[in-house]
Amino acid sequence: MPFLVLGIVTAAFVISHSTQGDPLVSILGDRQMDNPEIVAAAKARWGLDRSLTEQYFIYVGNLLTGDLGTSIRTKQPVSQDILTRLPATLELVCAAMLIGSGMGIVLGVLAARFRDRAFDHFSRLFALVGSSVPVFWSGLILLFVLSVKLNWIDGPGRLDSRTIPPESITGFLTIDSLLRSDLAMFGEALQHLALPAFVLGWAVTGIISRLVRASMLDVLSQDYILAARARGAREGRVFFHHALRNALIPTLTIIGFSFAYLITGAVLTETIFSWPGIGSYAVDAARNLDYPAIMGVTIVGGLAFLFTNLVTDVVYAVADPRISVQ
Amino acid sequence: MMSEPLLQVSSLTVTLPGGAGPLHAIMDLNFSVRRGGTLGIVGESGSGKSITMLSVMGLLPRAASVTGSVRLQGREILGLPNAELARLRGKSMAMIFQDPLTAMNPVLTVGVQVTESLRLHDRSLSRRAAMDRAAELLETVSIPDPRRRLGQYPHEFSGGMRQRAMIAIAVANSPALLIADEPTTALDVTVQAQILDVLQRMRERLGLALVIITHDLGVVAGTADRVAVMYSGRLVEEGDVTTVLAAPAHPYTVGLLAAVPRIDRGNTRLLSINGSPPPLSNRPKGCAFHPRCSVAQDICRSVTPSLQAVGSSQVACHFPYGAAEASRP
Ligand SMILES: Nc1ncnc2c1ncn2[C@@H]1O[C@H](COP(=O)(O)OP(=O)(O)O)[C@@H](O)[C@H]1O
Ligand code: SF4
Ligand SMILES: [Mg+2]
Repeated sequence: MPFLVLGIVTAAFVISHSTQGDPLVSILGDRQMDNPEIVAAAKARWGLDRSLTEQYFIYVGNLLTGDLGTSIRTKQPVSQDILTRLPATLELVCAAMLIGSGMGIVLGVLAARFRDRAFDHFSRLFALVGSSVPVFWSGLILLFVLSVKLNWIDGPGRLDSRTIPPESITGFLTIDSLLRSDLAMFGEALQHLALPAFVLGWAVTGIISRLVRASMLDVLSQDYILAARARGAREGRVFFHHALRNALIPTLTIIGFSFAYLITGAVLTETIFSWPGIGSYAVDAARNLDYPAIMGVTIVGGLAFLFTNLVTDVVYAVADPRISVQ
Repeated sequence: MMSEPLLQVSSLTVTLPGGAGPLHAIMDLNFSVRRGGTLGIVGESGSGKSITMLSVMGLLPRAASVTGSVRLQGREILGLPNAELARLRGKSMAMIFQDPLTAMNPVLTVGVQVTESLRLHDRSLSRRAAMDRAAELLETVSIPDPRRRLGQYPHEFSGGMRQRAMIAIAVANSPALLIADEPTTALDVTVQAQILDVLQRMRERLGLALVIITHDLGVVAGTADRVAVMYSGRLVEEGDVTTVLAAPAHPYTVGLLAAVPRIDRGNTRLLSINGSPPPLSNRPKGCAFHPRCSVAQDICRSVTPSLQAVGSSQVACHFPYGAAEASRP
């Protein structure tokens, strides 16, 4: 585990420092680049006068104390920037995960139940569209139709632009508003969350529903299903009590993997829906060659991926009695 | 109605969909099982034994077309709606399968699966009462420490213990008919005899009738009172166990018997019939056994023999042993 983390940090460092651009340009602007004194001062200020190896060890050393450096663009500590924006992304990704796996499981189960019938074909098409149409495309279209044309839902952002965001408790607007029993705020937050979460979740529905379907069909052909029928279980019980649980176990892995996809997909979704999360922060950081911010985001993303893998393994072990939790 | 058998199967014909047209898996099968009796169904793998008994249970895939008649306790059950059949399965008739490793749901405890069998047929039974009853059942099939065992998952059971548990599940509601499809094939030799013993004990104790499917005539000899020999979807010989084993009339039965290892012969090498059963899609004309039969004549290649009485048995062969002995020079 610690090696994996160090690996992520190193990879992030190498990748972000192998870009062509010069961060000094974004720090100072074009005009001041001609002034050698200012350039030298800025180099010293941002540690760019040291060798890359030195920079690397300084960075890792700081990291151990929780210091991700200072953002070149916002001039704020990167860790603080990330902490204020993380809840927005987590809320989006979690909601997308719920919608994506919820739709995927329901579609997959029904597709297996009505195998080769109309519903199966419909779910295949729905899955295909979701996973092949890029998030920015489906996001823009849906936003345009549902919000601009039909005015059914509110526009982008986490809340209406007129609403003053409430003080954060968990940072999840839906949860915070419920904790405060503020139903109006809850409705508003939910309405803003629904579309980006759906668009993002739709992208992973396909792979999940296909896997659930295949897994259900495989399980339904097992001997223990025949044995359940032989003791008098009706079809509904066979399907949900005996088959579904077994079919969902292999699905857990793919749901875990989908998380990684959602984290990357969040970058585009946040940009389109003006979602003030890590994704849009990462885009801004990249545009400005803001190394500390880029590295911070990469490391947090990598950690999130490691964490989901860990959670997947644990859930897997809990769900499948044949695997013991060590 | 005194002499009415517990299970009466008449003109059973099963057709399965196949890539190149329908496959006739079972053709015009007739047999019966009396109350408390034990019928052994014998035949090589692929002869249609499982399909026969699955169609009795109503457990064949929907795509299979089943015709004929299956009467259980005097009632026609072929073609009953699935909900009606589900009420009979596990209650009046039960079935255990070849591989106990795959026949138990891996994510449900043994206790859940045993009590399911009880509670599906008795809605008023409480969870706790069902557990008590389940513990008794495990005890009857000689599983030690039943209380603890009920809380365990199938993978914590050995193969033999799982098959015992499957028997406990099957007999939970004292069915009149228990079908055991190759119940010992997947088990260690040492465990096989124990499982057969448990089945016999259940039969005596609960007065149920037993149908044991096997490809091993040795199993039949030790357990059954009647035997039905199947080949390529048809019944080829049916009769009393002692008669059939002592004086088999069908050349296929003779071949199967020769394949049983016997200690009283100096040579214990397995003698078996040459070749293997034909695929359903390419069944030979006339007697399906003729390419492998050492006494086949021309008529065997064109005319399918029908079942006829030979002594006390029923045999489908143009030249059965026993009857033929007199006419053969
Ligand atoms: N679902 C199925 N579709 C097509 N053919 C099948 C199916 N199930 C079994 N068969 C064929 O039916 C024949 C009889 O099978 P089975 O009853 O399982 O034989 P046994 O139990 O005697 O070994 C075999 O040739 C087998 O290949
Ligand atoms: S009918 Fe002919 S081929 Fe078939 S078993 Fe009898 S003798 Fe052999
Ligand atoms: Mg079989």
